Amino acid sequence: MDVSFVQEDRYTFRIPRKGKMRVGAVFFASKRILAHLESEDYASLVQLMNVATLPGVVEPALAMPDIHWGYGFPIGGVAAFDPEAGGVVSPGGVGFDINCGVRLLASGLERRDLEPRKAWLADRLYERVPAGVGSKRRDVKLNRRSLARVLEEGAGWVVRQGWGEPDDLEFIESGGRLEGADPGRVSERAYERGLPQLGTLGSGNHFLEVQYVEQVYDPEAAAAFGLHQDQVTVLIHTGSRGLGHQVCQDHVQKFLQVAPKYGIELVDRQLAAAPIESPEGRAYLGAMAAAANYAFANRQLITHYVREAFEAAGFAPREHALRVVYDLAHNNAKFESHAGRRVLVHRKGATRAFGPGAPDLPPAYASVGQPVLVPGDMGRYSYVLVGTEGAMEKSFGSSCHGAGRVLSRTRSKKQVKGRDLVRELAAAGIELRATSRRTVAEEAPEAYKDVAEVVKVVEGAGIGRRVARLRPLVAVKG
Amino acid sequence: MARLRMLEHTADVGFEVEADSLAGVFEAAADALLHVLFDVGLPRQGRRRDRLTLTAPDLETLLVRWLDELIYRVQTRGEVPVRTRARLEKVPEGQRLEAELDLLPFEEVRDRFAGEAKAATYHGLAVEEADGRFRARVILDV
Repeated sequence: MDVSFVQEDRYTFRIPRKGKMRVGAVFFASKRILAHLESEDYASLVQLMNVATLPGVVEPALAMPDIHWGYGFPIGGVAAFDPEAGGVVSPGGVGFDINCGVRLLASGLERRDLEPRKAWLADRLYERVPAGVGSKRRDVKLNRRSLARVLEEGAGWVVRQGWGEPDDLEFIESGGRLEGADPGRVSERAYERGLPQLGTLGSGNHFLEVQYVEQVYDPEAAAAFGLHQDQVTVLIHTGSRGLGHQVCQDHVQKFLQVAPKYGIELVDRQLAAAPIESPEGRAYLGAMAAAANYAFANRQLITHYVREAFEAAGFAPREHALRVVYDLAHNNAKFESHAGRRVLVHRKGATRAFGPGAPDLPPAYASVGQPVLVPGDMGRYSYVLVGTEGAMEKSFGSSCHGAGRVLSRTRSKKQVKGRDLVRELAAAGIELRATSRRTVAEEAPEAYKDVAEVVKVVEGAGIGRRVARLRPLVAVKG
Repeated sequence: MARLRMLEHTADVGFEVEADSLAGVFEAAADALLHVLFDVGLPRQGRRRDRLTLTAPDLETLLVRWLDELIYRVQTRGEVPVRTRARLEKVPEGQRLEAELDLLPFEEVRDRFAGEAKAATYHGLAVEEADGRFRARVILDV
């Protein structure tokens, strides 16, 4: 497909409406990011143009600067759909890992407190936070009934079992529970897959990092978030595990069957969609919210394990004082108001980035905007940004979710062949613990764009502002 | 004789398999999945044998269901299908696959586990015949 775009300002590019596109598309990029897009033959921009063909899509279909080639939607894709204009919901616009996201914890520890016990803590985290297949915690036993409550109540259910602090919930997007969850719309296979996996990290790009605040850019916002120079933080990246994957697949297949009935033409079958206001659309949204609640609960339970690991490493609860700064999803679809319209915003590898005064912010953050958590790679750094009014105006209150891959997993493995990444990272002061050597090679720092470049574009485009940069000290990979 | 080629995909993992029958393509796709989930060649002899039947309106959906079923067997049931034998037939509701799985407990090959796959996607999915050979192309979300 021919991909042509025009530059609107330094970091904003527009793809004019053409062919089957119902609206134009906008993406944010620098020269370097444009070169990455060209190197994958603009596959991700073609995917963005495909999104713009879906019924009821609101101008424009968007991609954040960490855009790269995914399946269906591009990763970094944001699209809003108007239910009153025949707008659709697409499970492919949310992804298999429903409500996958990132949670940042801040501690009462300074970097110098941690250094002497860093390797010990890395081992404790690796022992106590299960990766997934074949690794189960004996202390958390779920049955189908309690899992149904998790699906309805999200992170709150976990806290009520004693695995968390009541304050944790205030600092989770949507309070750790999406409205409208309908556990009855979740298939038995999804329940079966979800039962053994609550509180597991998963593999691939999922991780757990202990970090320190290397630099503060915005002292006011950092103070509101309770972050300061040299403070030890923890970043957790995981999602809804097999339960979410199953919910997505069940509904993609359902939607493929019903799309013709609703006259929905699909240029990519992974974009399978149904009207928001249809029985099938509502069923998916109920199941999706249930899976999202599972993801919130999963990150909550892992937070409990992280606190236990710090205690096992010799830091008493009042010493580590781990508290939730924010928990932010990057794969979901939510009803929000933008420019006076109620729309369903799909974010696939993109985060919400609400600015000051926006709804659904913890009171402590209301005057500065919500934290936007942007993981980089395990060798460099991650960022904390803050949502802006610019994001509300330009990107349906959305921003980037990470660095974005630049090398395929195969190329990454080839590139690092013969190198000992564990030793290299240790020399750089980062203790790495991982289940699989292959995951380490696939997740090598050079497999990702420099997240600083992505963040520069976000800031330049006005859809987020830098607050702090976090440098890893310990990385745990599934 | 089946052939497997891994495809370049920035975020995920793709493969193309080729065989001289449709059943061969489904068996090769199962092998390709194992290649993604595990590091090095696994034993081909299972400890237990199981049968399964899947139906789907079309071949592509049948392939997605087949791969998802195998992912589920590994990740939820802890059983690794080290060898599969497939049989396909057209039925009034579309396509049916009957398969026999040689299963090995996950614990026996845990040291070779390389990471999970979430699901088979429909993006770029194809099952086709050309010049008497059958091919399938799949991108997995990992």
